[in-house]
Amino acid sequence: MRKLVLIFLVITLIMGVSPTLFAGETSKPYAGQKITALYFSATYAEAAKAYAAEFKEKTGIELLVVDYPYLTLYEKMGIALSTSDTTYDVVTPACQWDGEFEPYLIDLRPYIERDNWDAEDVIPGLWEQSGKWAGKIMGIPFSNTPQILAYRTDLLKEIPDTWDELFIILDKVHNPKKGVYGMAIPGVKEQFSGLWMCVHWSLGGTWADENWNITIDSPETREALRIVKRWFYYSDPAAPSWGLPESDAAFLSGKAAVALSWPTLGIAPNGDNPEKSKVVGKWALVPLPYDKTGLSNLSSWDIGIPKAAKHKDAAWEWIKFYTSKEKQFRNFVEYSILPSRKSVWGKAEVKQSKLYPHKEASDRGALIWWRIPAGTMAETVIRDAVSNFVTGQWNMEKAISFMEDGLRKILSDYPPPKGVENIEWDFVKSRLKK
Amino acid sequence: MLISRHIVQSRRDVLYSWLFLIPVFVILSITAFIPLGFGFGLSFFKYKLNLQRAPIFNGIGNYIEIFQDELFIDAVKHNIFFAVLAVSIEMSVGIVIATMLSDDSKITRLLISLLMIPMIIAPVAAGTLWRMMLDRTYGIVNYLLTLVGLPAVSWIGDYRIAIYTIIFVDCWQFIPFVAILVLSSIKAIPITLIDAARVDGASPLKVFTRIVLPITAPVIIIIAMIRFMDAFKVFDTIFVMTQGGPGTATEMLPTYIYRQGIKFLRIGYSSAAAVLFIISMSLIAWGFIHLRTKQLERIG
Repeated sequence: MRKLVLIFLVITLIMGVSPTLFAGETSKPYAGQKITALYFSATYAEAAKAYAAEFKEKTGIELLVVDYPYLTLYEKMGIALSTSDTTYDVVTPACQWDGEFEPYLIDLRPYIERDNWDAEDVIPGLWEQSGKWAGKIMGIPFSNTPQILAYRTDLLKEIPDTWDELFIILDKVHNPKKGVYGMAIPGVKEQFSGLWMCVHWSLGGTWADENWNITIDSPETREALRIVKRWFYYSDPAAPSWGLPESDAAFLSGKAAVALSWPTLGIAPNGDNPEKSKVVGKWALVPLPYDKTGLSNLSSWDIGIPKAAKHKDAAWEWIKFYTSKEKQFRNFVEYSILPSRKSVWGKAEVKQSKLYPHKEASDRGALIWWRIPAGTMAETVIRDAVSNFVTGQWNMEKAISFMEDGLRKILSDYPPPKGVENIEWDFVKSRLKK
Repeated sequence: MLISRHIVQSRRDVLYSWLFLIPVFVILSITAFIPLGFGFGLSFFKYKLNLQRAPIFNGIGNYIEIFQDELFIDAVKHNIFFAVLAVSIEMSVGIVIATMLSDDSKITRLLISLLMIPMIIAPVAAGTLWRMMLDRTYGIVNYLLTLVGLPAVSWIGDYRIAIYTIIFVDCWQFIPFVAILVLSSIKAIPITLIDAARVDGASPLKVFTRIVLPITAPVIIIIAMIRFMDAFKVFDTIFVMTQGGPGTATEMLPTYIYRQGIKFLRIGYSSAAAVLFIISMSLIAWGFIHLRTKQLERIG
């Protein structure tokens, strides 16, 4: 009898407690699911990993972050997507890969509309270069970084409007015998080509017109090549073999007056850390010389869901979480990841930050190169030509001829989808008129 | 000892021989022949993996395009130059080292152990190590050069020097490989032959050129063939140290094929380049085997 009473009491207790136990779980419809997200091995992946525990607590979804360096990320993502690999539920393509990967990502519009996601908060114009392609929303941009430069405030008062004016200023500070160079530049071709593009666009140059007729053989192209070759005069002789880490390290160790870089990756997080920097309090960021258009190169990453993903709904929960206002603000404060949301840029802490000059560069205009299915091939043509020219292997005419022939062939073999115009032309020409 | 080719075998023996070979053929078919055949077939199609359209048959179009691509031609030139020079240095130095280490002292055994260290480091690790050591500004090599009054050198930043730097790293890693294999071949020579030559008054050089070298020649040819084929396939060191740069100064066939197939997802085109690569390697291997056969006939 006692045993029966005891069993009855236990059962009653369990039934009394269980509603409260499971009440929370009904608000976590995807609890227990595991999703895998593919990121670039930089601050973006670090932030994602840091949020995984909080995300799990909030949604019950377990997140695994897989990250690769930029050099290998494209091929890992490309092969996974094009072979319908189900490994990844979330991928974060760089905006320049949108045209190549769009066929393999789902349209997020139904999710955005269903959950009333605040799309109007995304910086105007950004989505058209990062996340939207051929009428589809394949990704939500979460990081919007125009290329700018870092400079030593104790050596330079300001950065002028043209590169030739900057060279005159650098002549006064360039002193290799004392170990101070005018510029720190990442000379490896995968970084250097982007820098050339900044100069080319700022001078009003384009690769092609709005109808994809090649226009690269131009005075602007020649001038841009001349300017970037002159950079090496002001740089450490090791610069041709430097990647971003070496170039940033040279600036942080006080050996360069100006650094052409992606400051959010290395200079900004470490610039005021006495353990990692010898230029604490002596550096600032500023947009690149305006020249004729003020255009710069855009690095933007979007986050999307592969068609082959096994847990699309859970993946969308992560996307909402990671791109929320709260997380974008935290990304900025703790990881120097620039936001894609207007509201976050409007916060006082962001406006007072040393990273805020990126906003000015963004407002001037930042452009990404062709986001077409053969975009990587086109960028490689530019990269090889520029690199062979600045290292002295090709003369200017050969470099330009290589670019022209290469781009023409690419467009002939892999024409852009119908209806897709070359926004580069509009971006550049509209700013030339101002 | 040569085995005669004219051994009479019963039909049953022949049947059993083929039966034992069947599993090997099955495995080779799955792992080699079928993929090779598939790749060969793909080479006749225009097929970019990230374009959602079916492959388009274009005959030998890919092959024609390859030979019109100046970057492919440059990659072939770089590859041949790299392989010939690297292997020549590795074989020459490796044979000399092997000869010097052919005695059996304690010091020799210690030196052989130390010699193996570069061999056991993965090429990616070796490339990364040397990239840091050869940095023009922060690398230890230039630091030591400047200590003795020599100028610093842009080992991987100067397009005229970069390929020699890669060759140096390859030699650093694989001279020990050659030395150890040649050494084991030298140790297999009957000591009585060498003693007899010495008794007859032969100098060390004559012993080496008239006895050691001819006897070890067939093995040396095989080692050279292995090293040449490995050198032709160089990828890790290039990828880690220069990415084919500066510019395209160190672009080789493997990095070219990788770029076309993995970065550009041009499966048909990269398959055609790979087919040409395989054909070249096969011809090279055939040449070495033919040379070795002739050498064996001379000895035998």
